Formats: sequence, structure tokens, C-alpha cells
Amino acid sequence: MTLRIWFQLVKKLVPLFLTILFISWLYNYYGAWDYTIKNIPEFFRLIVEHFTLVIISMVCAVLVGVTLGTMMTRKSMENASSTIMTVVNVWQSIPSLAVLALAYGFLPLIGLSGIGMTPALIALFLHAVAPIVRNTYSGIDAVSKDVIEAATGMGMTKRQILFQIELPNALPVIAGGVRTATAIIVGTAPLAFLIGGGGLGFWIFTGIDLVDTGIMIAGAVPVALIAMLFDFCLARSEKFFISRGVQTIEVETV
Amino acid sequence: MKKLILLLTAITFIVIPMSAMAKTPVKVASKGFTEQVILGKIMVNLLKDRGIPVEDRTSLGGTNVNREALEQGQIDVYMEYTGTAWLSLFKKTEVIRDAVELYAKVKAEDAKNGLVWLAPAKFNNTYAIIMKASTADELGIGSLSEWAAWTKKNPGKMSVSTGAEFYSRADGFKGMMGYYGLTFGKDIPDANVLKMEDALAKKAVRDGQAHCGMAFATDGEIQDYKLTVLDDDKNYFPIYNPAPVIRAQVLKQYPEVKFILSEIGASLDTATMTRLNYRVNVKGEKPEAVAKSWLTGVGLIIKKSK
Repeated sequence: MTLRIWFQLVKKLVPLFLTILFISWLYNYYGAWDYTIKNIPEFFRLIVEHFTLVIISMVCAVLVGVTLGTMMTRKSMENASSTIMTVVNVWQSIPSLAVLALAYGFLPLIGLSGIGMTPALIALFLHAVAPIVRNTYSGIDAVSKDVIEAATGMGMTKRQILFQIELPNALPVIAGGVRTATAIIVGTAPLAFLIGGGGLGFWIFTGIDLVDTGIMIAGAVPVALIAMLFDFCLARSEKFFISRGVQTIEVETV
Repeated sequence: MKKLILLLTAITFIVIPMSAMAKTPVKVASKGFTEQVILGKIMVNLLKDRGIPVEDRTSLGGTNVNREALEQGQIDVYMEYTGTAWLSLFKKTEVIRDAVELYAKVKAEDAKNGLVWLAPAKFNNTYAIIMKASTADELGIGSLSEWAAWTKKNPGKMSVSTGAEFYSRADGFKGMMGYYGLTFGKDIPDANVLKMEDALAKKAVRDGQAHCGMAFATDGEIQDYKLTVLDDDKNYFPIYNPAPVIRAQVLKQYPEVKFILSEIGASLDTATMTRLNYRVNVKGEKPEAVAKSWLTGVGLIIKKSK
């Protein structure tokens, strides 16, 4: 019995340990550590910018995405929803870099600036909102009609059905959409530098331009760690928020 | 499936020996930005015209990709700038302001690697600081000294747009501030420096997002965007000439290439290169067409009468 627990622990710790070892070796070998220490104020500023990009666009995407997705499942929106879904599907197939380029190109047409943090945030938001809308819509749509009928029979109002039956039941699917959106945002955020959005992408591109792998690693590794951090947090909060009864699959943690 | 195998066998036994029998073409590459593509196309068309088999590998990628491909023999020649080679590829920290000395040092350094630097072009693709013509008039700034004086008088007011490379290079932005007597972080705080993709830095200035910004001396858009290049009156920016860098092995096979490619540089000055960039970036002409028309214009390719 104890042996099995040890084995489980080792199975979890060995990859973690190897990853840490590999990253520290990378850091040392290419001199990324020295560069980070030498530019520590800039490093923290870039980290703050990066988190700002990810968190603001993420929060907006979740709020708007879930609201829109829920609205689409209401009876009155039935006609519009298929059109919106088509738009969402097409939108999601556009590569992230192209979305940034579109934000840069189109925002000046409506009198906004195409360079800086705002266009980057708009681009990230627009790209991340698509999977959330889609999953919210299909998640609520997939809730069994029998369950809703039973709820109606129990005398629940429309609002009660939405908040106590439909949304909790759709939550695993919505959470999947949120994770996809996070992956998109975290993956695209380094590109925000290109249109003046700041963030850790600055060091990655500096490294590429100067043919200096150290600077590139000093930017790329924190980006990867932030991605892992967000994925870990989401997985944990899914376990916490989603009711036990609808947790179909064991949610893997890092 | 059988057909596929048959086809593959046919390819192995017919096509590969055939291509080996033909003379191996010279693989000409370039980096991805306009000026480099034009230079690459110029080399491609000139070599073709002189009867040398050429493989067009232009717009290959960044400095790193081209250099690595050249060292490993995946490409044979591309144009590199003396300054970029010295600072980024050879990792030197000393800034050399004499163009001839820099060229000689770079050439000597690469001789060890089996790479030959052919005659450099006359034009100078160094960095330049640009400002909207109207802003420059308003603030009374025409040169970098005046720019520094204004910045010193109004600490924290001046904003700058720059690409990542210029911001971090030894001969880049921070060095320039120091050279003109300014302190980075005090006279221009880090928050006032907008960092973005190289080509956008000019647009940020045009759109009024920054007072001044980084550009390349040969950028075609400077005139079109109504921007002024601030005069580098204390000569901070070094002179960076591009030159074809070719593998010595290729020169053994085609000794005449050395002379053919050396013809290009003599007629390419800064004004000419700016005009060629302008034709592609602003007028929307194809780099290939611009390269060909320039080559016939200066008489390097004689138009054959039909």
C-alpha cells in the first residue's frame, strides 16, 4: 500500500524535477539567467504587462462569451443563433497572428489607434471569445430536455431553470471552452509585442533579432511557465466549481 | 500503392541522376524585408543573365536563418550588412564608425569560416531617427543635438517608437542617448519607449503615437509619410554597407560569380536604394520587376532585341 503511494508520488515528481532541471540548464547554458538579473526591473514590467494582457482579455472574453452564448439558447434568439455560430466558427479558424494584423489594420478605420496595448487587448479578446460562445451555446443546448421538463414540473421559473439547472449542467463544456480560450490567449500574447502591446514577447523578438538565444530564452521560458500556471489554476478551479454530479471525467491536474 | 512505388523508383533512377549531372545551381537567398528581397532578386537576375544556373531562395527569413543556412551550405549567397555581422553574428561589442575598417574586419573574420565578402554596395543602411515634419517644425528640432536639448529641457515628455533590435543593440537607442548627453530612464523614461515591429515604428510616428521613432536610412516610406530624418550632427550612427556573402566552395566552381556580383555595389547608393524601396513599399511594384528594371536601367543587363 505505502509502496503504491510512493510510486504515485515519484510518477508525479520525476517529470516535474526533470522539467526544472532542463529549464535551469537552458537558463545557465545560454546566459538567460544573467540577462534576467541584469534587467530585473524590465523583467517585472514585462511580466506585469503580460499578465495584464492575458487577464483583462480573458475576463472580458468569459463575461461576454458566456452571456452571448446563453442568450443564443433563448427561444427569442433561435433564428439569430445559427448565424452567430457560423460567424464564430469562421472567426475561430483565423490564425492569431492574422487577428492581430486585422486589429492593427481595422481599428484606425473606426478612429482608434492600431498600435499599443488597446488593439492587442481587442485582438486577444475577439479571438478568445469564439470558443467560449460556442461551448456555452452547445453546452446549454445539450442539457437533456427531460431534466428541464422535470424542473418545469417542479414549478421552477425560467430564471431558476437557467441558473440552477442549465448553467450548472453545461459548466463542464463551458469550462472546456474557457481552457481553449486561455490556450489561445496565452499563445498569442507574446505576439502582441509586434503591434506595440508589450509583454514578454519583447524579449523573445529581441533575442531573435539580435541572434541571441539567451535573451530569447529569458522571454520564452517565463511565457511557457505562465501558460502552465494558467492551465493549472483553471484545472483546479474546475474541480472546485463544477458540481460533483456532472464531473464526467476526472480533471487532470499538472 | 504499386503505382506510387513505381513512381518513386522512377524518380530515384531518372530525376536524381539527371539533376546531379546538370550543373549545381547557385542558391541565392535574402532576408524577408523589402530591401533584402530587392537585393536578392537583383543577384538572381544578374546571375541568370550571365548564364549561371540559379536557384531563387529569396525571402528566406531573418538574419539568423540566412546565416545558419549559409554556414551549412543550404544556400550559397545572400547580402549581409557589415554592422549586423559585426555586432549580432560575431558578437563584438566595440562600435566601429569607419566603414572601410569595419568591412575589412568583417571580411577577415569570416575568411576563417570559408565565407567570402564580395565588394560592398555604396548605400548605407544604418538607423535614423525620424519625426513628423510638422512636429519637428513645431518643436524647432532639425538635428539630434536639438532633439537632445529639447528632451533635456522637458524631461519625461519625449516619446519614442522603436523596434526590438534597435532598442537593445550596442549601437542602438540607449547608446545614442548617452552619446548625445541624455540619461535613459531619467530624460526618457522606459514607459515612453513604445516597442514594436520594426516597420511599424514609422507608422506610430505618422499616427502621432510617438514624437519620434526609429527608421532605416533607406526606408521608402519616409518621404511618403511626410517624416523628417533628424540630422545625426555628431555622427553617432555607424555606416553599414551591405555586401554579398558567398561560400568559398561556390567560388571555386564558378570563379566568375565573384566579378559578376561585385558589379552590383558600385551603382547602388543610398538615394537609389531608397527609391527602389519606395517603388515596392509605396507604389506596390513587385521586387522582381523593380530589380529587373534597375539592372537594365544601369546597363548591367542589356535588353536583347527580339
